[in-house]
Order: sequence, then structure tokens, then C-alpha cells
Amino acid sequence: MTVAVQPKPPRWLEPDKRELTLATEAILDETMPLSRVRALTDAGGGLDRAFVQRASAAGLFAWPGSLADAAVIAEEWGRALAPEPWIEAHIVRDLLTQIGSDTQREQALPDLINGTRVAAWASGDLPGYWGRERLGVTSTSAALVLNGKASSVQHAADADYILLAARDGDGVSQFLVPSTSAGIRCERREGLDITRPRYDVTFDNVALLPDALIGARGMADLERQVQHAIVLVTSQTVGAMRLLLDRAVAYAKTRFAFGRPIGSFQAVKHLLVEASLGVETSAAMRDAALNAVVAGQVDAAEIVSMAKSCVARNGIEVAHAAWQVFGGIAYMWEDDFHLYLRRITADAAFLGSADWHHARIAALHALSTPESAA
Amino acid sequence: MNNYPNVDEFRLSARAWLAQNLERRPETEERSARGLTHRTVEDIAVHRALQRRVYEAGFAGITWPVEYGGRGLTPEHEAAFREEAAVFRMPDLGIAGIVSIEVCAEVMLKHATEDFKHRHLPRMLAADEIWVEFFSDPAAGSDLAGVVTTAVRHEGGWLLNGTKVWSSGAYYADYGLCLARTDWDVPKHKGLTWFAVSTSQPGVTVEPLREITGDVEFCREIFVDAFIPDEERIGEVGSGWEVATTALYFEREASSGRLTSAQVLAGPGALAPDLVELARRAGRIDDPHVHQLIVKSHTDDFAVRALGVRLARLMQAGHPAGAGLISYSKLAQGLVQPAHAKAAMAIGGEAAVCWDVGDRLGLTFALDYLNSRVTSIAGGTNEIQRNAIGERVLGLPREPVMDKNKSFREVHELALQAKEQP
Repeated sequence: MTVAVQPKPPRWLEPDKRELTLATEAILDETMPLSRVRALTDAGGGLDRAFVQRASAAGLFAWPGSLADAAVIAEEWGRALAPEPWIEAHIVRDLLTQIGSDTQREQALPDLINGTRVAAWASGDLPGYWGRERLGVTSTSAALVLNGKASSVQHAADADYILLAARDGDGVSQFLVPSTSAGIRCERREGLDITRPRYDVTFDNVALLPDALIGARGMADLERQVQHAIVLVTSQTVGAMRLLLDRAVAYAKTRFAFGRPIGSFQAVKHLLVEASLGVETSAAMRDAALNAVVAGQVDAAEIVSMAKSCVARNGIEVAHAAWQVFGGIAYMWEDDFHLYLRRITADAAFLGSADWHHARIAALHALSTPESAA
Repeated sequence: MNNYPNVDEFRLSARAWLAQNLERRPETEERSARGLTHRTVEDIAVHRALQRRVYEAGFAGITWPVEYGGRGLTPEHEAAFREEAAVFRMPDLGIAGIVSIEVCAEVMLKHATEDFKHRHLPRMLAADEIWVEFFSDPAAGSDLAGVVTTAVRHEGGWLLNGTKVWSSGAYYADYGLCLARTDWDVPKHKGLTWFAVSTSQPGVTVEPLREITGDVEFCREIFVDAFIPDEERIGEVGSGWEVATTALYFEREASSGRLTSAQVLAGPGALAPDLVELARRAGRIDDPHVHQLIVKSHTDDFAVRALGVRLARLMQAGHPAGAGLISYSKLAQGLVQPAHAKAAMAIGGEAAVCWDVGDRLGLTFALDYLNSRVTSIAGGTNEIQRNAIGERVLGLPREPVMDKNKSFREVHELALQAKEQP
């Protein structure tokens, strides 16, 4: 955006997050600046494998450390608008490390860690979540066979693996399926977030090798990865929100109208203040969710859902506040604002909308039955 | 080292004393609301006596310096006592009791003379003195530096004239911490000074005001040539704005919860019990739309607490805005409380606006609604907090002001002229 060409204003960082934040920022600045995000988008939104490998070599992709540190990196990822499937990489690594088979750990995991292979996640079709359940496996004498359709899977056509959960008899099983398997068809969709391509993936009698199963058959517990992924996507949104806020505040200090900076008008100032309250509240709820998940609190599921609702709602409000402050400039295609608006709004719907999470919380408090929550 | 009791010993002594001297709280206490029961002077007197016993046992002013009646112990001792005391009925001196200790005493600790502190602080801890704020004039609230209540020098002291308003609980208080103009011929922030004003002295009239809930809590005070000895002045003459800044900070803290003490985020707990009860009364407990409203309020209530914990951490980590971050907490509550109250009315519909005679719960829901803009107005309005955050945290430029570099006398005359010629 017009103000983006100005030197970066210094930002205050919490001392214990400073080093990791700056290290992540440095790599992203060098290898995935917004000009690169735009170039990838213009080229159809393909995956930048060289970038993934570079970030992996620095240990910043498929992050092996704590969830708290992953949240710090994710925030920078969101700030930079990097389109690569970072959350997916983290989730797959965590799953294989926790419950993967020896074969998965020996054969798939190393390449996922060094970035030579990447995974997509059919997160829109998790049995028991967000009301869509169209993937199913059946046993034949020869193999397990997968049928169904997963919607809006980010990067599916470019990824080497697709992580998915499918109804399996009375239970749910989770699989890491090579995307080259016979019977898989990816169909490109259009979307609000133009930086990340999405595909509908059809599975037509896909024979699953035994190595594809993650964990015990029919016993997949998706809650852990859903909670981790929500902590990370809310972190990404917080990063994107904060960038928009920083830029809108900087703009309001230098843009003059009626003989004074527009940020001196209370109407503009107060709009920005509410946006900054939205950023701090979102960060606070992300913190609360992170701590609840790490500590294994009994109310972690509720707090994670609250965080998702809070960040989704505030993210959109902050983006709109910045939009209003930038005015007509934000309507220009060449301005970066719309890329952030698109990402923040798309991620508000990712892993359950605010309304879905509200219904889930109502169900957790037995205010409604889980069926009506779905 | 020192001969202070360690925290565990202190906790045990507190536990023993509390069990012998105070009544336990019932397991489930009936819900209350501001304005539900009027605090009479007699009722306050009972709690004053109780507070005196707490003080004499050494459990008041736990972290205060010993020379001012405190114990000189650590915040951990204080926290231990609070935990032990949570299940007992502690003395309740109403809103003035909170203001007395959390705002007035803090201002004195920072700005009053040694002599003043020795004279008043121990008595405040013992509830022999309850202090309230004489801050706003009828025509100066958000623009607090524009007060016209005036003190002029007079024989070893000052003569005070003017009117103060919105002083909560002044009808049972002993003193007011009063902001007065002592110089009309300098810009408005430079001519202010603070005084201690006794509510029972000649020249001071305290008039209770009936408020929106129907209850009488805040008051108006009228000063006619009230004499204040100079030793009852707080801070230097003309340095009143600096003292006011301290007072406003602690007022924000008192109304939005203290950030400086280490905080642990308690879980979200029960789902908004007031909203659930109203949904039941309205027959809408199975309505998914109502579920959305309830959970959204529940989430936002929890988010305000989560925000408080984050802000405390940022302050401790050295955030450049420092104590200015408190305004976020105040603003968040000033926004969430009215939203929650409006949600209650939307959910309850007819059931929220009409209830059986004698139905205390029905009444408390109405009182909650009527009280829902206390935080968004009192102790610095939402708009004042937004200005504070905008200018001191985000660094946005100030709105041009029209009273800068003018004497207050000139500014005041302009305002009077505008009123006469609309």
C-alpha cells in the first residue's frame, strides 16, 4: 500500500518473544516479501517450494518446538501474508511425531520436515466438526477404499500429501494420502483469499495403503489438532490485524486533511483505538487459548472456541476500520490492503465460524444438544 | 533478614482469626446489584466496627508501610489473606470504602506530607475515616481541569466555595479529596490544588441525590466559605493536575480491576447465568439465536478478563505505554457491560422489563441494565479513554485545543458568553 514503501516503524516486542519474532521476520522479509506473495498470486497461487525449503532449513517450517513458539512464528507468518501451508505442516508433523507409525516416521516425516514434501489438510470436512461429513472408507478384501469429496482444500493440487479424516464404520479414521494416488481429482475453485489456491478434492474409490492410516483405525481424536490449528490460525490473524493497525495508525499521522493530520480528528482516532483494542483483545484470547491447551485445562475446548470467535469477529472489524481510515487508496488493486482483508475474512471462516463456535460452546454447557450445535 | 512472618505462617494466623471473628458466607449467595439495598449510615457503622477489628488484628493495609498503620508485608501476604478471606463476610463499606482505600489513600501515599499521612492513613485503614472524591464540578466532568470550585488564601488556610457532584457515598463519608482552583490567571491545568475537606465542618453541605436506579448513593456538596487549614492541603499549590493524574490512574484501576498485581486467568465458569435465566423466563432457552447472544456475551465477558491478564504482563515486560495500558481495560469494560445489558433485554423481552412484585431476581436484572453505563461514564468516559489510548499508546496527534495558553479566567468567560448567546 502507499505507506508500505516508507521505512518500517520500530515495533515493541515482548522480550521473551523478541528473538524468534525477529528471526522469522528476517527470513520472511528476505524470501517472502509482499512483492513475492503478489507474484505467486499472479502466477495462479502455486507453492513456492524453494521458500518452503529455505524456511524449513531455518527450522521455521513444520516447527518442532513448543506450541507457544509456534504461535510466535505464526503471528509473523500472518503479518507477512505468506501463503504456504504452514499450519498444515505443523499439524502433520505433530500428528506423525505423536502417533505416527514407524514407516510414517521414517519415510514421510523427514521429507515433510526438510520441506521437500508438503501436505495439504482437508480441514473443512472433519467428521463431527462444522457439519460437513462426506468422506468415508470401506473395507474390501484387498484394501481400505476411500470415497467422497473434500471442499476448499488449500494447496491440494500442489501438495504431496493430503491429510484427511473419514467416517469409518462407527468411528473416524485419519489418513495421510499421497496426492498422486489413483482416483484423486482436484478441481480448482475461486475464493476471496486469492493468495492461497483452494481445490475441491474428489476421492473415487481410492485404495489406501496400510501406511496411510495415522493412529488406530476408527479411533481418530481430532480435537487436539483442531485446538492446535485454531491457536495457530488465530495467531496468524493477530499478526495480520496488527500489521493493518500499524499501517493505518502511521497513515493517520501523516495524511493531512483540513490542515491537520487525520489522526487528530476524534472520529478517526477513536476508530483506530477501537481497532487496537480489538487487536489486544484478540491477542489476549489467543494467549488464553494457548495456555489452556498447553496446560491441558478441562475447559480448553471452550476457551479455544471463544478465542476463535473473538479473533474472527475482531479481525474483520479491525480490517474494516483500517479500510475506512485508508479510504479510497484501499480500493486500489495495487494496494496491499485488500490482500489482508481477503486473508483475514477467509480465515474467520476457516476451522469454524464464530457462530459455529458459539453453538459449540452452548453445547459444551448443555444448553443445546450437540446435533443442533452442528 | 527481617522478622516478618513468612507467607504460610501469615496465612495460618489469618485463617484462625477469620474463623473466630467473622461470619462465613453462605454457599450460594443471593445475587445482588448496585442499588438493590440502600446503605444506611447505621448499616455502615456496623461495618466500620467490623473493619476496626480487622485493622486491630493486623489484617488491614497488609502491604502498606508500618508507619502509616500498615503491616509492611508483601503482595504475596496480601494475596494469601484475600484467599483465606474469600469465604467470609468481610466488612463492606460500600463504594466509598473502595474509593477511600484504592484511590484516596493511594493519592496521599504519593503526594501528601508525612504529617498528613500519619494523621489520616491509619484512621482510614481502621475505617474511622472514610474518604470520597470531590472531583467533578457540575460543569466540569470529562474536562476535569476546568473546575470552578475555588479556594482562596485566608488566615493560615483557605476558604473554599463552589459545588461538587457525583461523589459516591459522600453521605456516610468523613472526608472528601477536593480539587479546587487556586489561580484563575494561569492556564487551566496550572491553577489547581487539592484539599482535604471534612464533610461535617461548617460551610459544607452534603446533599444525597436520587439516581437512575431509584436509590440514593451519590451526592452533591455545596461549599460556602468552608475553611481548610493549610496542613490539609495535598501536594504543592498549583500542582493539582499532577496529583489528579495519580487519582485518575487509581480511579481507572479501581473501576477496571488492578493490573499491577500478578494475575492468573480464572476459567470462563458458568455460562452467563443472568442471560440463561432470562432466556428461561422468556421461554427461549432452546432458541439457537438466543444461544448465539448468550455465548457471545459470555465470550466477551471472558475476553475482558483475558485482556486484563495480558495487559498486566505487557506492563511487567516493559511495554512503552506502561501504566497507560490500563485505559484498554477500562474501555473494554465500558463497551462490554452495556452490550451485555442490552443482550439481556433482547433475550428477556417482556420477561426482562416486567416481573412479579417481590421478585428480587427480576429486579436485579433491571438494576443491572440501569447500572450498565457506570463504567462507560464514571472514572473517565469511554471517549476520554479513547483519547488517552490514541494519544499515549498509539501516538496519534492531539485534537487542537482552544484553551491552551489562555488564562482560565478568559476561557471561562468565553464559555459563559457562549451560553448567553447561543
